[in-house]
Amino acid sequence: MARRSALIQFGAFSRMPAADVPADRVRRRALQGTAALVVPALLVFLVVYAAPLGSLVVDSFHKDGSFTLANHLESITSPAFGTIVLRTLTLSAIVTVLCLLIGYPLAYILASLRGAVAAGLLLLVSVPYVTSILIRSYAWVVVLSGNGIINKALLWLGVTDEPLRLVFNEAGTYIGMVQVQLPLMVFPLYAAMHRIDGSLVAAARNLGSSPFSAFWHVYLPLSGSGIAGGCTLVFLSCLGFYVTPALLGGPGQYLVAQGIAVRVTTLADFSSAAAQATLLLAVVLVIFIACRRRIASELGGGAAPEAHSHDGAGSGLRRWPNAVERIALACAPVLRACGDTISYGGRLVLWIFAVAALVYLVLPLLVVIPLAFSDAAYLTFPPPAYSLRWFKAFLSNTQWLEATWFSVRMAGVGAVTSLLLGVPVAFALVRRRLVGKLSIYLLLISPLVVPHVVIAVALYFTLARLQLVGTELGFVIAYTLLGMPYVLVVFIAGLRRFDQTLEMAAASLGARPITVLGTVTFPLLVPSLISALLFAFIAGFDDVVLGLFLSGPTATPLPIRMWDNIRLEISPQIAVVAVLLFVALAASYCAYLLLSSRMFLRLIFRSQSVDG
Amino acid sequence: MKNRIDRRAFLVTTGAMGGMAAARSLFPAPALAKDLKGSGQVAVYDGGGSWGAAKKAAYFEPFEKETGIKVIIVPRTDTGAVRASILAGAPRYDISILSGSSTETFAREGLLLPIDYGWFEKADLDAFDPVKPGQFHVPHIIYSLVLAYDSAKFASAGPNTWADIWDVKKFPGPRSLPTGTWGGDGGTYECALMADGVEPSKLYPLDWNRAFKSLERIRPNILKWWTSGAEGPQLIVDRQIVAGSAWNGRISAANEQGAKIGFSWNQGILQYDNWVVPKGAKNVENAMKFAAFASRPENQARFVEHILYAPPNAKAYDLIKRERAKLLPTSPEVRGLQFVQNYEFWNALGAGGVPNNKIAVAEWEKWLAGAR
Repeated sequence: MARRSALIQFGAFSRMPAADVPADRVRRRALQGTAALVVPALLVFLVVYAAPLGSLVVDSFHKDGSFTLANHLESITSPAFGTIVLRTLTLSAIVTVLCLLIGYPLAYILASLRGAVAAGLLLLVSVPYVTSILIRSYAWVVVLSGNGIINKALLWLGVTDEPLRLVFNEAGTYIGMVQVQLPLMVFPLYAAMHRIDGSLVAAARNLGSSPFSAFWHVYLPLSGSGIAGGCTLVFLSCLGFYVTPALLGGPGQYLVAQGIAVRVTTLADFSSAAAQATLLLAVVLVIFIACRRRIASELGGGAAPEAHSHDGAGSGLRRWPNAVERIALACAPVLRACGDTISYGGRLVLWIFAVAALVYLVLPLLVVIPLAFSDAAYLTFPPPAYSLRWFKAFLSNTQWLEATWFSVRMAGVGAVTSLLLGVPVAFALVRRRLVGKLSIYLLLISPLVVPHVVIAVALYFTLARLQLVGTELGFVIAYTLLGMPYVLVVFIAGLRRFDQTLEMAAASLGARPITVLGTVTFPLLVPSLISALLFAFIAGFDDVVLGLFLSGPTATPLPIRMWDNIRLEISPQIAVVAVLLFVALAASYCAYLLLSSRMFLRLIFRSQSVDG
Repeated sequence: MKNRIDRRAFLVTTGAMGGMAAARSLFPAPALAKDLKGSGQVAVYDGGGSWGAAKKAAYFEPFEKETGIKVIIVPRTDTGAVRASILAGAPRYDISILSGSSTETFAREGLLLPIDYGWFEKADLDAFDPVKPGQFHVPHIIYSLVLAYDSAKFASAGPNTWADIWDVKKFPGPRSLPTGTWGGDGGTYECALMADGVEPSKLYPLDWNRAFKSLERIRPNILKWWTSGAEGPQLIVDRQIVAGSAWNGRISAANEQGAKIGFSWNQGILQYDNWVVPKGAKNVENAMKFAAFASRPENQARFVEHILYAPPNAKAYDLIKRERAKLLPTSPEVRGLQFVQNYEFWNALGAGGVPNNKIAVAEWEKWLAGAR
């Protein structure tokens, strides 16, 4: 208890205390309030995540009962490990930049739309996630290979004389990875841009600002929190990524997460895997510490003393992590072009760009759909004949249906749990004064960086002790951990650009805190809520690695069934799953349209009756 | 009545009637059948896909019928997850499957229970060939890592040795081999050494330097390193590669469905998976009974009807149709062309007391990073 209270300082923003309440009571109440926001999530993380991971790390320092650095030195001194880490960092950085360059204009267009169209296009952005990683990679091969769709088109158009090498090399790696990571960039950007008041840019223009200058000094800084959020998500999740590069990259492709996965799954050598994961985490930590001032101000400025930063108070631009800022400056000509395009009414160009980006996101699914209707016993494109045999096979297989239902339920409950635990933390980090903000933030987003195989091993031993392996609760816990980083990053981005004066206005007009929350705060944060929920859901729904450890006879998620199925033979069955998931997404979109239009009708109806 | 008894039809009928004893009486010296009847349950490693379906039909259902012991089918997982579950004192399976390349390592670490051969027929144990049951394991399936190629591309004279696979002048086009991080399971190091002229009998202990020198030669022609059993055949079907290595069962399954993949048994690497009983298993006796049941020739023969993995109990061949038997790597016609992979080497401790499997991963990473 003593430690906790030492950890938590007083809220900088306490909710409109009544004048007659003694100061220390206010302080105590604020303290308790902050504690209540942060402690549940921290407790969960300490018990099922930090402690087990810590003991795994401690284990990596032991060999035959005595302390040793052998595991770590083995990696550090190996020239291979350094090279592989460097390659991983470079790849992650390049993918992040590419995602930003493609994602920014796309999010800009999406944010300028409203209602059903925007929701529909956002749905398309999330399409990469409905296709399991293996079928998606297969689809990319179909599209990109020497005799693939793109090369056939280029040859036919006479653009090239011989097929271009677009896959099984660097190009394939980037095409595949950027597609998967792009939604992680677009959603936070969209959430930030959605709230930008367009009249601010117009005002700048009216006051004589050049189009570029208006964009550069007004719009770009206002979208800064989205850029920071998106870049953080993409960069970190790239570090723990290896399946797509392994499937689409060349024979020299090898990333650090791959090495760690091999050590866990094939060698069953947990100590050296933990050692490498520790080193990877240390590298990330160094990056974070280098950018700590930026992160701290991103989190709300009230962090650890050395992190106090007021130099960037006026400009969101200065709040970005250093690296991002440099990249942004390097990209200034491109951004300038964007700015000019916007101003000259050249929205058409932007639109073409956005549509191209959407096609890029959806392309693999366009290949997957015909595959699902294939009549062939194995994957071949184009299918020799069409039939519903694989749909029938799927729908008549109780194992697959049970697994699907299990995955939907567990990922759903997991996502809601991480939302319930994570949103209060995001509030506390952004709005309250708290010692150790950076540590809390790092702890909660680290599941994004720590390779999942390592989390799986650590979590497994804890859950086994609690007899939770192979149970629903075990999966909920696992999926909550996986969803937390997404909730936190997306929500912090959402809160950063939040105009608190709106809440204050409501409060000063007599609204009680709960009313402010319900009528002002919550509705403004809906886009962030939805994208946080979506990401957290997908994080659980898509997981294979933790499932391999935690599944049991009555608790088998869908990805494990698919994994089981494709190790020996890749059948069109997994294409069916992708198509069904897409249909489910589209159906929920229609339901959303229907619901919102009814609400719309009711609204009209009510206002009419008021008028009457 | 037919007076010629078709063995297979007979087996299927009697099997369907639950008369396993009748089926066993086909053999010349049927010792008194061990009574495997029992109660309770046994948690068994499933295979998923067609492997799991074959096990269900050949082992799980007949075992339940004969013994009254309920089979709990537990999904497959990776080696690491199996080890974690044993270390945690709550093994995922009462009877699990491990590849030969990791079985000995598990045994050395004290993670397995010795097999109770009291439940087995001696005749069955004697008939295991070419791999024998051990103190901690009973072989489950035998398969062969063979050279494979696009038979549409090299119709008349396809590659026949690993040296041919390495010969890009004679057989031009991209290739794919298993990633070297698979150590023994992928057989890539053995293939590289054979391609460089090493006789199968002189492969072990592997000469790492020579293996990587050989790999260096083929590297420019490698499209990618494959990482799952399905990938090799799929790359040939998709015309991405013209040659490489693949498991015989995957090739035959693809060909049965209309693919045209050529392969040669010559210099094929025989590999195998084992049944093992993890330390801490809850239903040890039932697990032993299951292993004994799965070692009977009639059950292994039925297994082969569903999937093309060779039966370790050679007596099963008496019950397998000829056309089917010919597709199996241990059938008498082709057995001699291949050699059994030396799992002892792969599980042994190499330089600096590090297991050879681990050395393979470290050296492979060095090689890919250009630091070798």
